Amino acid sequence: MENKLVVAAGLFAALPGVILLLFATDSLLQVIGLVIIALGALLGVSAFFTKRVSTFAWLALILSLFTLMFGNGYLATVFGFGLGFNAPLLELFSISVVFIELSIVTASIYGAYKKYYRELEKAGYDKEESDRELGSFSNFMFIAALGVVVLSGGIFLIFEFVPQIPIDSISGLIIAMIVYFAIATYILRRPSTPKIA
Amino acid sequence: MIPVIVAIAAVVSSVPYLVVAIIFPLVFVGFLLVLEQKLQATVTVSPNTSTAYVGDEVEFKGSVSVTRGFGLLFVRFPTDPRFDIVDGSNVHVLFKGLANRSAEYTYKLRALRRGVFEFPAISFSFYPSFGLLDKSETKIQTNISLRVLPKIVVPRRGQLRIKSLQELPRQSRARLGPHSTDFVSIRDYSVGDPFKFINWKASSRITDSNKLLVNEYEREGLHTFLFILDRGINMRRGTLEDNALESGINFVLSSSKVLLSSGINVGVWIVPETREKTRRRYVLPSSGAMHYNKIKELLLFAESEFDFGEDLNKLSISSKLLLQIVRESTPAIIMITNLSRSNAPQFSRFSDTLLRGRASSVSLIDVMPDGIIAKYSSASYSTQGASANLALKALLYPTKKKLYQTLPGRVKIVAWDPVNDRPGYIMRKALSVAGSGSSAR
Repeated sequence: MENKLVVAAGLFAALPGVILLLFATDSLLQVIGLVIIALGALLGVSAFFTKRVSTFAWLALILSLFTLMFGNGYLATVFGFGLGFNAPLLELFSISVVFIELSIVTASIYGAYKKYYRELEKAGYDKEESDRELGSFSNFMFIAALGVVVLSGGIFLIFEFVPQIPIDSISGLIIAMIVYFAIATYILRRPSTPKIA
Repeated sequence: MIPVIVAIAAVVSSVPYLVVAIIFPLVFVGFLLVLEQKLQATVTVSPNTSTAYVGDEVEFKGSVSVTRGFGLLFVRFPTDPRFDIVDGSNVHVLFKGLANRSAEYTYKLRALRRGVFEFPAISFSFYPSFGLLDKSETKIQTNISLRVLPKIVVPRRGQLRIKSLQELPRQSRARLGPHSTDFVSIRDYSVGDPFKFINWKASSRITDSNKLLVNEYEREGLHTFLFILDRGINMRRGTLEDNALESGINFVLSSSKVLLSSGINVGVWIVPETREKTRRRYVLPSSGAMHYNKIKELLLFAESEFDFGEDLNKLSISSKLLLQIVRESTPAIIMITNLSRSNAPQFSRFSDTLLRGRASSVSLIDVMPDGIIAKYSSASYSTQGASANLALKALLYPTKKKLYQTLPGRVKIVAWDPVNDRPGYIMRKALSVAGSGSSAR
């Protein structure tokens, strides 16, 4: 089970790089694509050597976001250069960033699986049972994450058709961040209720 | 932080499709929060018996039923260090998804030691929602109590000769039985002495007007054996499950069963007492099948302690009672100990006191736990039988000889290697020595 998670995490992380490699005409974009693919491959390999598997997925995410920030928008206009993004490539690449996030989640599921498996092995739990139950847990979480990706896409499509509030993007960002931090603070600081009835 | 970082990148790059990457982590965390529920689970466990013998396997059946909650459940059913898990496991993991889950588990424990063992609680930990949220731990009280009795070997009665081979002078008998007319001595009055035995003439001659003297006459009845089991630190030598004290307990129980079935009175004393005196440490001599249960109850809780407690020779309440029993019933006394330089002087004085107190005979079984230690350090020791036995005794003989010489001459000594000397053989030797006048050094 854990091997499938690692392979899936590596593939998801490499997907934006594959898109760049296949569809970009600019050589710099193709190199960035190769680097992202390499990060995805390293994620798969590093699973056997390190506990922090999601590090390479994070690096792929940051590289992808920086590529988008410098390839389009304010920075590209201010500095006067672009990375050769055309409209279809930009759309495809920016949607594929969600797969890097899926890769981070998958890598975290894998990390949790390994951590629990090791602790259970040390504590004398039956290996078969541990494998089976942790496998069910990981399967559920992975399928749930895939479902949430589809749901997120659906929500985005709904946003496309819902009438939008006419505010500029910076104001919208500030409002979104305030709401986000308020909710996050509430969730993290809420009193921990007993979890067992 | 992912939504914030992606939101900033979306604004800077003016790419609207990054909104999908902002929505995904928010929806995912929201999904996990929706799954977070209080766990509702029923966990039970029960053994297939409440009484077992040392070496027996006890099967425990456990069940877990989870009707609410989402996450990983780790269950630890109760066990005890004095038990070996021989089949199955007492620890289990269970994943509770969206559907209700239930599971049944069995595991077998082998009792390694006698005693009463409590299995108080089942403990379990709950890791909700992918471990992002805090785990919870709790215990469920079970109040399971398991009695493990010593497994004894009872040789056939025909193999044992309890009565002496030699013709002995008639000895006074058990404390149960009528007084005969054979005068023994004049002694101080004890509570319970018949008034008709008060010797008024002798009492008037003594200067202390509060003291009375009585005539003592021999009593008729059954023979009495008294076992005195040492629980001092020397008896701890060996392992927790297999040591001199455990061997001594098995010997006392086996011998008591044989003697009681022959209609002989048997009493047991455990020495020394502790200073707390929380539990009675003796069973007065009596006979019958029910009496064996009293002896078994006493020995079930016998433990050796580092604190020597009282000196054997100090006259505590139970020591006075012991001497009174010895005086009245003149029993054959069998002491069981691991004799060493630290306790030999005490046992020497104590034996002397018992002999002066009119014990018909005093035997000492010297348990040599060196054989137990050798058994665990050498796999072949316990299979070598007589040769290992002789080698051990030859090795220890010079030291032991000096110790035996410190004991009064009338004390008969039986050296016992619990690993290689069969219990029946030692019982035969000890009981016939106790009943005879011969020396078994």
